[in-house]
Amino acid sequence: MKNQMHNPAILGLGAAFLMSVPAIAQVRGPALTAVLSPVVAAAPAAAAASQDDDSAKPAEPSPELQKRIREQVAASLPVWDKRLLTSYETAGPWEDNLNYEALNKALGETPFAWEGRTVPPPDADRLTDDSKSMRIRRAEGVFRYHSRKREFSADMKGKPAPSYDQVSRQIGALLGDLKFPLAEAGKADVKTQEVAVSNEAGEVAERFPSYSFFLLNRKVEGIPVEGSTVRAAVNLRGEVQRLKIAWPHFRVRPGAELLSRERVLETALQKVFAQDPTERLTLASRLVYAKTEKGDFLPAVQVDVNDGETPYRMTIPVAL
Amino acid sequence: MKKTIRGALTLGTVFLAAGAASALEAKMYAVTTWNAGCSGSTRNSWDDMVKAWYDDVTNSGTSVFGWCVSGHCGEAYSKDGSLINGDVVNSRMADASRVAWGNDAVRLDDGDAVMIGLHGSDVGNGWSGSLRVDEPGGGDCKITTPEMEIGDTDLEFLHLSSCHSMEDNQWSTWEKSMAGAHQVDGFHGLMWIGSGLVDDYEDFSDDAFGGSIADSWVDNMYYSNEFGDNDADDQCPVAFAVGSSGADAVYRLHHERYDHVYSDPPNSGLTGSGTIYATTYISGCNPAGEDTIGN
Repeated sequence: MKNQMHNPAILGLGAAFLMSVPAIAQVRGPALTAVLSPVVAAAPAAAAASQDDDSAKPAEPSPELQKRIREQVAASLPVWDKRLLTSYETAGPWEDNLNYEALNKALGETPFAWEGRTVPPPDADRLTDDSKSMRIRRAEGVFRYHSRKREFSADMKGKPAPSYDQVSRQIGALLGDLKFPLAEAGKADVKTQEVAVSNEAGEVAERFPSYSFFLLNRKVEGIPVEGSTVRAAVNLRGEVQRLKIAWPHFRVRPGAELLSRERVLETALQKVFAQDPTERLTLASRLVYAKTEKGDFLPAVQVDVNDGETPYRMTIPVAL
Repeated sequence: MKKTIRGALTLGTVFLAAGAASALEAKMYAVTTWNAGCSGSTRNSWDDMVKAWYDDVTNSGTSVFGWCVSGHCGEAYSKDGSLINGDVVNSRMADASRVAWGNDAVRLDDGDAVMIGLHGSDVGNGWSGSLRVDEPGGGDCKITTPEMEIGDTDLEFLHLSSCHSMEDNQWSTWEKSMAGAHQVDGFHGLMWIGSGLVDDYEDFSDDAFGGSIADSWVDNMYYSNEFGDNDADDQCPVAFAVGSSGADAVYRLHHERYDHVYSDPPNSGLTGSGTIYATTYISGCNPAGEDTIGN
């Protein structure tokens, strides 16, 4: 939340004053929404010069191609059983530890400039001062942080990027402070974010690291969880400059029942047929857990389709 | 925001706007169905991805007691146009100084931040985007980097949700299309479409109000060993910025935000000699459809 005092007089009146439009940013489109509701009407375009015309259906592939794709998809789909309907649930509401004072401490940050003078509203999800920005959405298990005083600067140029061991230990300790469910974490990965700079001839003249880039994905009982991730950038002084946590509370929908393989296959085929498949089509599939618009999770199959043009990924639930 | 306001601020990086960003404008172009004279395979989720960006960058949200509790409040960009399918033609994106049929001044180049979602390919060390309508006259069904000159009217930030849109062999070509624009963000190799990737586009916009646009692009679009056979393929975002020197370009890359916009960099133009460019990406990124970046 930004502390934009655009109308201090309101504070003096002690009355809540809602400005502008409803908080549509709070409404996100989870992965399974489109799958469970195949016909999604385009939202009315509020803008000038707005136009949306994507209602036309593409031509059906030939019967021979449909047969071949059916065989390909059937061969690609993984096997699933009722073990996917796990009773596992994330232990403890770690999201409750997402408060700005604790986070500033864990990040080695200074307090917000406004601390001690004012208190943000309890539902505020964005906190900002001149040196940093935080976004806290406890209900969604989301936290994001950007530091401006820890951004790459000229004095860091030429220093090595912090090592895998240093970064993974550092972020692991930070997550531990938050009582983060590390048992759900897969193996951490650390990459190097690099900068390339040209000369006046337009050729790359130099390359150097600007951050170490930390990634952590989520697995529940060995199955990846779509969209759950921790990402962090650690600068060349070893400070966390950016942190993104998207790790919602995990629970498979109570009462969910597995769908038949044939039903999932037909759903996948209709989606492929609707996207102009060709003879070049190749597939790769895997089981995942995907978050639903209700906030719980369902087991699903991710199908990656590469067909000569822009590749696409379908996420199709295998239980409802 | 009109270009004339910025005309005098061309030396180095001069902070131009914060808290006054309400005048800045966002636009989007996306195609899901190529059925109007140009060829291309349908991709149903593309408009949802680009629209997630557009809806967030223009989300003015809610203020309570002067606190911006959701959205971007006074810093949100205004909606300047959302074109999904319809008349997505090359003249909207080409510049009249490059090709006679170009007419981007009141279209692409009229926005301050614009995202385009199209099939893309690497042609002649530049990006080639697949349009929907075969417009009468030149240009056929493609828009290519050399046909573009961006920022001479207004555009600062161009985001390309398109394969092969910022490959490592294209950077000097993109530099020659920078005529006042600050940054272009795209992909090395293939990028992916999917309903599960829609949130990445919303998060990119959201993060770019608090942190640098370039870093937000990398943070939200990068995937390691995620796609294809044996999860072997990465998705490789690349952010590209220009400046008056190497130090200026790098500074812009890591510091410029939607709510903290610098003055325009020098016009590079056809010779590409007016600016230095800087890019940022994840080293070793290895996507489908291309070699490892930097190799």
